[in-house]
Amino acid sequence: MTVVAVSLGLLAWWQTTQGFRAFTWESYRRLKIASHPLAVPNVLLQDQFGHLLDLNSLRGKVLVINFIYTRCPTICGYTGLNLSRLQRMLLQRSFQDRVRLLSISLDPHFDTPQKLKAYMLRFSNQLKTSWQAVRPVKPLQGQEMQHQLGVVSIPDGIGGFTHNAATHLVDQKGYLVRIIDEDNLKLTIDIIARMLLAAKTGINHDG
Amino acid sequence: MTDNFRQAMFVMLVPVIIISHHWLETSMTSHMAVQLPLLVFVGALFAGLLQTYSPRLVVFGQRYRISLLLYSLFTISLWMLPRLLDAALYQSSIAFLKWLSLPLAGISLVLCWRHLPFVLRGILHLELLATLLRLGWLYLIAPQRYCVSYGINDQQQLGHVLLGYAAVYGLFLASSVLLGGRRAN
Amino acid sequence: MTTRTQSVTAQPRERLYLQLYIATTLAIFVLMMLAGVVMRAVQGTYIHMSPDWFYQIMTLHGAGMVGIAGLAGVSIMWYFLRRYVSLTPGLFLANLILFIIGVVMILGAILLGKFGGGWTFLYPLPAKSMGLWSHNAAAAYVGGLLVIGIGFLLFYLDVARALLAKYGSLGRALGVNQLISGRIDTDHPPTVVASTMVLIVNTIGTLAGAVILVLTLVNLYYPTMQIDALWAKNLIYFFGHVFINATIYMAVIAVYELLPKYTGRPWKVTRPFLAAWSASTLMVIIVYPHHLLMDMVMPDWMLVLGQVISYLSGIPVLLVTTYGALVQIHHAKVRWDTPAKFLILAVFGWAAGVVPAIIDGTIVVNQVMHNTLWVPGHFHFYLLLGMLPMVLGFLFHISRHENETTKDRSVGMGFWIFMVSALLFIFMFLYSGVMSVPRRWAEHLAAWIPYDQWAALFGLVVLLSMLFFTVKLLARLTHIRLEA
Repeated sequence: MTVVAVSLGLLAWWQTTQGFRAFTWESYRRLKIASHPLAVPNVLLQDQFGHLLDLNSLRGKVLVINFIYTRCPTICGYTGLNLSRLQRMLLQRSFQDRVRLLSISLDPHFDTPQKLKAYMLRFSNQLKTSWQAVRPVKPLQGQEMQHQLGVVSIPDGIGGFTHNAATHLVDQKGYLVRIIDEDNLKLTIDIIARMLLAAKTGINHDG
Repeated sequence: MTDNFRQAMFVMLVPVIIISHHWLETSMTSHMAVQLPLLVFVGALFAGLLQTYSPRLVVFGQRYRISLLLYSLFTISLWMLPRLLDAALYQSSIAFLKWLSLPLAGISLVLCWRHLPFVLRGILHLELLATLLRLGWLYLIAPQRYCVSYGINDQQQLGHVLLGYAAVYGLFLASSVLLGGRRAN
Repeated sequence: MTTRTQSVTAQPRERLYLQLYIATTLAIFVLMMLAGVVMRAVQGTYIHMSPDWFYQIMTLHGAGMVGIAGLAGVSIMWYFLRRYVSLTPGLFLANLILFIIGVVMILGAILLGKFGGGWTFLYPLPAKSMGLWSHNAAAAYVGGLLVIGIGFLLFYLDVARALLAKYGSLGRALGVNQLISGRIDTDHPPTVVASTMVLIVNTIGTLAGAVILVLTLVNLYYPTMQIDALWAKNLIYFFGHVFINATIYMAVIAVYELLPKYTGRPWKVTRPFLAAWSASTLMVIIVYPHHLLMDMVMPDWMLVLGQVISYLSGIPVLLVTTYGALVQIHHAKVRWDTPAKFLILAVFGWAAGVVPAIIDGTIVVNQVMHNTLWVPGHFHFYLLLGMLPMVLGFLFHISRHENETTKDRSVGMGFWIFMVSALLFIFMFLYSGVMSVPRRWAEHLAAWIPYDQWAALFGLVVLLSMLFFTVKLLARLTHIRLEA
């Protein structure tokens, strides 16, 4: 009886923490995504030039997605800097044509294309690159996407949001496959390289 | 506590918890340090009432004391995970489990408690005290947020509150053994 | 109010447990002394050893000696306390079993896992070994301490249960109510007073230990969960300070209970006696900052508290015990058997050990002396000439024949050799401290090596005399009586 009770208790702990690895929602979510990739819903987006694009139209490329808002006084400057560094690293490896970087706005009412452009100019004066800052055209669609992916933002009490800053990697088929700390560029580029290599060997097989 | 007092508390607390649930869940401090303990407490009150009406429950508690204790320990420890605090907000199944498992943990704790030896009760008291200190300390100084739904200020406030609970609880334990109302022989 | 309960009839089971305690105590004391002598011999260049191994042995010696002093103290406290209240034999045994499991874990961590982070496992050192030991080794060490702590807690909670059952509250057991009402009950056993004090301080100490040990374990495997290093140090030293102090407060029960048997005068509680033990209960808890006088980031008031209470804290219990011991032997027809000699030596060692301790507890001195061998000098004074003789006196007493009158001349001689060599051994620590020889160094400058060599030789004599006592005591293990 006692043994059964202890086993059940340990099982509950094991299940809840993904084998004693995840004690927080975010770490649980990351482990879960890594083992069970999640299809990213389509969203209609508008970039810093005002151009419209469907997220689905980017299928076939690896997507590096993070969530920002341009009024953000803290972390979004840091994540933008990291993304521009990542972009340079991609260039060095000539990955730029097969990878897209998207900074999706959490504040689509305020973040007009002009604001998004200004945000991009904080990190580079080159705007026509593989990195785009975008906003969901329909705010509800954007919220639905965040909800499905498990991206949470909460009011910070001083007019902005405290939000998830992690880097989200979406594969060529439109599945969210990994979530990585925003400053872990080495792991990010390693995984991108692996995803590109997998696609290449896949094509070789078909051919 | 007299039965009438228990009944009054129970009748009063149940609607209070239900009505206030949304409000309590808006902050990490009240979610973890008020709502979760209240759910356990309501279960404990309920078990206390049941025991007086059905003496067979006392026999039941005696027979299954270890399983009951283990159930409540595992349940309460699981609900100390920040992960479940978030999950209770976003997954209705987890929220349902919260409302079910914690009152049950209170019930089983009360049913087994009087059948546990003094030394084991002492260990449980001290471990609870140590856990309050550990969690309070971790929440107070962690540079990162453990819950995605709550801000860092909230988390630090929770740390202070848990340390405050530990202080009150420690003083209560100390005064009860040092001064002690009970006198054997 | 309280009357001495009739001596409990000796149950063979409990006697067996006590014998197991004693055998474990003696074996570990000898082995840890060997480790200590090896360290001094390595510093004296008599033996060559890599620094890694030196620090592993240092960790072993520290953890082992603190642990075994605690276990020996428990056996003394249990032996006498069970005459007044009813203790649970199973929990007495459980403490020993958990102790041995913990020792095995610690030995594995140090000898196989090469853990050498010092017995105080200062955060974040266990997690930052720079490749010298693995996280598993550090976890085995910390986990071993935790298991040992749980064992002691089981024993203390059983003591709490028994004291509450008889006296109703720990305040009464400690005699606080007698102090307040002014009516002193001279039949109140000193053993109960001392046991209550130890129970109170060690339960609080174990709580601090349980917090810091578990968080150290968490940090080992989840490095993102970090704690504050200064708080960690405070908790560790609080726990360590209380635990090692309590070993003496447990062992001193042997003085209260046994010395009267050799002097023929009873040891009664008095108002100063009760006041001293109540005051020490508080002071042992708040004096620990004297271990952190070199941490300039500590709040000033805590350091001042550390110094002031250092001056006061040893004094109450020490004074009533020393004075009580002097009253016992003054113009008394003392039977100077071996146990009596050890007990008087113990009181002297404890009293004299306070002098170097108080010097080190003075902030201006501490800032230049604390990292020298002066510090091991002072605590070896207490422990080697205070705590250990209490244990030896206790063991020689309870293992003697019922009407033993013939004195064992060899043990008598061993006593003098032990005393003189231990004094010289400790003197070498203190002298090296005055000469600014640092502590916790595997290798010494050439100028210091002669001190180390003398210390190693004196230490060897101490070890040999302890080995001799151990052989004698093990041979008498079957004579042990529960109502001696």
